Amino acid sequence: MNIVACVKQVPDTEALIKVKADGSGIEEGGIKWVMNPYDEYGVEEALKLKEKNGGEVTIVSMGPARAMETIRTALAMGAEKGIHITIDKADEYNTAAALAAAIKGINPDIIFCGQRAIDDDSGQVGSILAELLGLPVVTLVTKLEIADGKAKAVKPIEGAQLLIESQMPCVITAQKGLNEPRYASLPGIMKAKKKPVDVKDAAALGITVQPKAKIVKMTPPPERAPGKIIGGDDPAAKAAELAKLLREEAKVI
Amino acid sequence: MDFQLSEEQRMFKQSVHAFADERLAPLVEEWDKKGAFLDHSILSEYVDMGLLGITLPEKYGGAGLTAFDAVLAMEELARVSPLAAMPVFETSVGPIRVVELFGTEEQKERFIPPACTGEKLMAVAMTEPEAGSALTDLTTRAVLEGDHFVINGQKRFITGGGYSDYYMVYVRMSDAKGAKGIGGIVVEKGSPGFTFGKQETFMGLRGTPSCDLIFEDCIVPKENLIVPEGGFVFLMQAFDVERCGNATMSLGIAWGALEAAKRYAQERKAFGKPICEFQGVQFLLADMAMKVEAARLLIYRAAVNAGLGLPSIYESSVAKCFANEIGKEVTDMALQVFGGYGYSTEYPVERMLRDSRGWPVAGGTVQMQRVNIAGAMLGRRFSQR
Ligand SMILES: Cc1cc2nc3c(=O)[nH]c(=O)nc-3n(C[C@H](O)[C@H](O)[C@H](O)COP(=O)(O)OP(=O)(O)OC[C@H]3O[C@@H](n4cnc5c(N)ncnc54)[C@H](O)[C@@H]3O)c2cc1C
Repeated sequence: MNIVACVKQVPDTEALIKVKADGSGIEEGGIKWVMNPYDEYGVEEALKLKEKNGGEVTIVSMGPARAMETIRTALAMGAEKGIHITIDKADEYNTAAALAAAIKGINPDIIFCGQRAIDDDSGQVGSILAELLGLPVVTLVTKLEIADGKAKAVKPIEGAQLLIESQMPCVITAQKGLNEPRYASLPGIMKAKKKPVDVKDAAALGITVQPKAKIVKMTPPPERAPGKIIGGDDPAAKAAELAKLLREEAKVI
Repeated sequence: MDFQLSEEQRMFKQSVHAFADERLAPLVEEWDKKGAFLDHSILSEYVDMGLLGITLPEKYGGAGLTAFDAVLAMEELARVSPLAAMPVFETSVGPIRVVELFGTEEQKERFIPPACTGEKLMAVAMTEPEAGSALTDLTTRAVLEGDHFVINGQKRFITGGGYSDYYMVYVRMSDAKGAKGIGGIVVEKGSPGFTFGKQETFMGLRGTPSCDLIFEDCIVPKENLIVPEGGFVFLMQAFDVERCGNATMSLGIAWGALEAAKRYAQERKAFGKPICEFQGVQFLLADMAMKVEAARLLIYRAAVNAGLGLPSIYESSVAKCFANEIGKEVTDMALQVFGGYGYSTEYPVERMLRDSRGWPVAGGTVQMQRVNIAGAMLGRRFSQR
C-alpha cells in the first residue's frame, strides 16, 4: 500500500502561549514544538496499515525549517520517507494546495490528516486536500478497516456512530480514539537519520501562494472573571442563593 | 566545547519525556504507596522504546550508544520517579556492563541479550552486614571445587534482591587481603543454597525491591566467574559510569521537584497574587535552578568523557557527590514552596524528598566520594585504615 500521512508542527499543548503585542500572531521564542496530536493518530494508523499490508508511508509537512524535526519524528516512528514543503505559513486553502501538489506524484491509496491542528483549530485542510485531489473524504474517524479495496470508517456523531464505506483512494481525518500512537523508539530515531526527505519550495511544486483568507488580528482570551463563594451556615439558604445567582447573574438556568 | 545535543538526542529526550509523563507518571503513586514493584508488562514498553541496553553492544541486542545517551534517558525518567529510571540503570550502567568488560564471548551471549529484552535483569551485590564503605572488608567466600564454586556468606541492601534473576556477587576467592582477593561471580536465582532475607522497608524508593542475599554452601558453575580474583581493581572504569548513573537519579529527582515547584508557584495564590511574585519564592526557585543546572553539567561532563574512553574518578565523584547533595536540598526547597501541601502525602514533593535521600548513601557515600575527590586532587591515595 502506498500511504501518505500529513503532519503539522504545532506548539506543545503544555506551552504557555503569549500573543504578540501587535496581534499578528504568537510569541514563538522559547516554545517547544511538537507533532500535532491528531496527526499522531494519522501517522500511527498509516504505520499499522503498512505493517499489515506492506508498502510504504510518506510523511508530508508544510512549515518552516524547524518542521523537519516533526518529519524526523514520524520517520523515527517508522515511516519510510518525507517531503518537507518549505512554506512557512499559509491559509487553509493554500496549505491544502501545497500538500496536494506534493502528494499528486505519489498516487497514494490512502491519505491521513489530523481532524484539525491544535494551533489554528480550522479543521479544513483535510477536506480541501481531498477536494483538490478529487478524492472522497471521511472526517473525524475513530476506527478504520480496509477490506476489498474499500475503506470502512467509523465516525461518532451525537448519540450514535456512523459506519461509512468509502472507495479508495480517499482522505481520512483522524480523531482521538483511532489508536494509541507509538513513541519514537531509540532504534527508530537512529534509523530516521538515514531516511530520505525531499525538500521542496513553492516554485519546485509549481504553485504560487495567493491567500484567500488571512488572520487580521489575534487577541488573547479575556481574563476569566473571579469565582464567587457563597457564604453562610445554612445549606438550604446557600442552595437558594446559588439557584438565584445561576438564574439571574450567570443566566444558565 | 559544544553544549548542544544532537538532533537524535533531542528527539530521544522528547520521546522519553512523553513516555515518562504519559505511561509512567500515573503509576508512580501506586509504586510509592503500595510498594508495588515495577510490573513486567510495563518493562516490555521499555523494550519497544529501546530503553534497555542503551550502552550494550548491538551484537547482543543493545543499542551500542554511549553512557551519556543512557544518562539523558535516565534523567527524563527519574524526573517522574527514580524507580522509572531503574531498568535503564540496570541495563546500561549497572553490573551487566561488567559482563561486557570482563566476560568471555560465551558469557556475553548468555547474559547480555536477556538483559536487553528485559527477561532477566542483573543486580549487584557488594555490601555486607560488616562491609559497606570499607568494601574490601567483605568476607563472603567462594571456593572452587571441581567444576563449581561453593559460596558462603551474606550480602545486604541489594537492590533488586528477590526480584532479579542474576546477581553479580563480589566474593573473596583466597586468603589474599583487600581488593587483591576479590572476584565477581554471577549467581542465578534458584541456585542451590541461595536464599533471600526479608524485604527492607526504606524511607523512600518504596517499590524498589531490596533485601539480604544469603549463601549457604551455594553451588554455582565455574562458568559463572566473570571477574577473576584480583580483577576488582580494574573495575574502576565501570564504577565511573555507575557513579554517573547514580548521580543522574539525584539530578532527575531534583529536576522533577523544580518543575513541580515552578508550576505550583504560578498557580498558588497568597495575599491576592501568585506566590511566584514574591521575591522570597523567586529566590528559592532561582537557587533550585542553579543547583540543578550545575549538577547537570557536572554529570554530562563525566558521562561524556567516560563514553569517550576518558573515565575519571575525579569527575565522576565530583558529579555524584554534588548531585546527591543538591538532590536533598532541591527537594527540600520544593517542599517549602508547596507549604503545607508539600508536607502532605497528597502531593508528590514529600515523596521526592524521601526518594532523594537514598542516593547519597547508595553506590558509595558522599563522604567516600569526597575521599576520592581529595585523593585525586592531591595526587595521593589516602588509606582509611
Ligand atoms: C537505596 C540503597 C540502595 C543500595 N543498593 C545496593 C546494591 O544494589 N548493592 C550493594 O552492594 N549495596 C547497595 N547499597 C548499600 C550501600 O552501598 C551502602 O549502604 C554504602 O556503601 C554504605 O555502607 P554502610 O551502609 O555499611 O555504611 P558505613 O560504611 O557503615 O558508613 C556509615 C557512615 O560512616 C561514614 N564513613 C565510613 N567510612 C568513612 C571514611 N573512611 N571517611 C568518612 N566517612 C566514612 C559513611 O560515609 C557513613 O556516613 C544500597 C544502599 C542504599 C541506601
